[in-house]
Amino acid sequence: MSEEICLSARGIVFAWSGGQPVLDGISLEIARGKTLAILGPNGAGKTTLLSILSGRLSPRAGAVELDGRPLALYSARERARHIAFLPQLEKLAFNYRVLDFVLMGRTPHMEPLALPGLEDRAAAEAALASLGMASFETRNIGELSGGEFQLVRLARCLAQGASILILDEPVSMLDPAHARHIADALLSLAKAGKTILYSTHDIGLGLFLGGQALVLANGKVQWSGPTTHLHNTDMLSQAYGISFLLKELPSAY
Amino acid sequence: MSDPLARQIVVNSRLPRILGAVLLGFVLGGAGASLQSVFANPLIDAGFLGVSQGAAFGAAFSLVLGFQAYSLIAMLAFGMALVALSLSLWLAERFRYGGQILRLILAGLAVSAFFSSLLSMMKYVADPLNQLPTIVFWTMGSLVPMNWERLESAAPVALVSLAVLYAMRWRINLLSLDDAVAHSLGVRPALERRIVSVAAAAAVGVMTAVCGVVGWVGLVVPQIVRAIDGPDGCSVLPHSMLGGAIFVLVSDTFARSLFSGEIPLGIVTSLFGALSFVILLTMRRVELAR
Repeated sequence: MSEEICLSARGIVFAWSGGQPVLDGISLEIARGKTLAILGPNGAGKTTLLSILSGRLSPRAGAVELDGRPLALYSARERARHIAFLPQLEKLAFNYRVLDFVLMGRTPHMEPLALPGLEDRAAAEAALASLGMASFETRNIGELSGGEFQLVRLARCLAQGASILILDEPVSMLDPAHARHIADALLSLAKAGKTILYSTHDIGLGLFLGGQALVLANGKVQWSGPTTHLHNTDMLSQAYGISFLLKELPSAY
Repeated sequence: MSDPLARQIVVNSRLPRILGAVLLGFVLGGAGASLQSVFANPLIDAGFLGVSQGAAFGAAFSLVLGFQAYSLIAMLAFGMALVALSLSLWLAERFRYGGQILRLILAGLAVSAFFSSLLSMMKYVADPLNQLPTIVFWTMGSLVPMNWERLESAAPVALVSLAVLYAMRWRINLLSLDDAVAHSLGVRPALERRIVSVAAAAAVGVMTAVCGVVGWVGLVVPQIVRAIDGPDGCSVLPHSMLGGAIFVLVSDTFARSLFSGEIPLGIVTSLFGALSFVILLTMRRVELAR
């Protein structure tokens, strides 16, 4: 049975004004319910690629298609019902209550000037509960640890009800326990049928979550294949410019 | 009320002044709360973004030009308030020093100083017998000259702007998030931020035209409200409007009754506002979440 491609990119070229191309002819596709890890050194263009795939940036050349239709043709609200994007860092000026923060994920399902209703509240509560965070509803964001905040941000993506999650370095800056907690949550989401694209420097996370991987270097796809092949030290050495050794080390995954 | 003189005083003097104080408080509290939310910056208000000084210059300029109709004065104040806001936002994008919060404060400081100097120039060229005292007294902010005509000239724009801000009370939460997150939620942050800030600047501009510069209300009241019942716009916006009205009414009562002669309202709100601000900051109640 052929897989249904839900998100694809063809010949993506992107450069900041007056600069060298950050992405130079990237093509990829991801089937519904599958997982794709995007790896590559700092500055390889991972975040830029994710921003283009989530519709926040427009490529200079090439096109992104969502369910076979150009992403640019979707209204902002319609797009947000399909794709949830979680940036690596998020600054917050105000100390929102956790439930109010997660409720913001319901925006694409609400009329523009409406207030969240009972249905939205139930969806936000269910999203928190699915990540084991139900008891945090009445806490304030400022009281959370980095790992708890990351789970609450993920809950907001779930409340959004999008089938495609695009996550920029979801476990960076987390201790091994919280990284594992997030990884477990992502694995459950993948098993539940969510399509997950994420960038990471953590090769262990790619091996843990499985699915496909893509390595970016110098704005191009250096390698792509199943994550089980991320053991290929020659490929990694070529992408990152340092030598890799295969060792048995303690791992949270 | 059988005494016709008392009736006349209440209807023609006290009532427009009370309604003017309530409307001014609603506008300053609502504009402060919404601007703080949409620029993700609890340390700003219309005054900090140059809006009040821009409106002050616009109104003084129209007085120097000899305009008499309040609607014309209000229009020029409103226009200059928008120019000042646009300048602050434009400069904040271009400054190469500091983070987003500091850049906006610095840009507002520069724009306020620019319009203050233009205002001084207006004072310098104003007729010292007629125009100058009016401009000077008016820049201190006062509800003394509030009458039905002034209230009617400012109320339509102020009420429409307040209605826009109230309608956006939940959306302003979304605009306080990083742009990348707001975009992912289907929000168009630049457009919606512009709608909120134009509504806030318009309301502050027209009220400044009729009441003069009344500072600190929009900065302090939303912070007190947030410290009491959290940062959700659904409660912060209406409560800041109400809190602003109470703050202005109480300040105006002090302005009328503290001394035998009335002192300008702007002096009282600045005094109370600055004191509250210092207390709030010392108590660490202005929380930057993460």
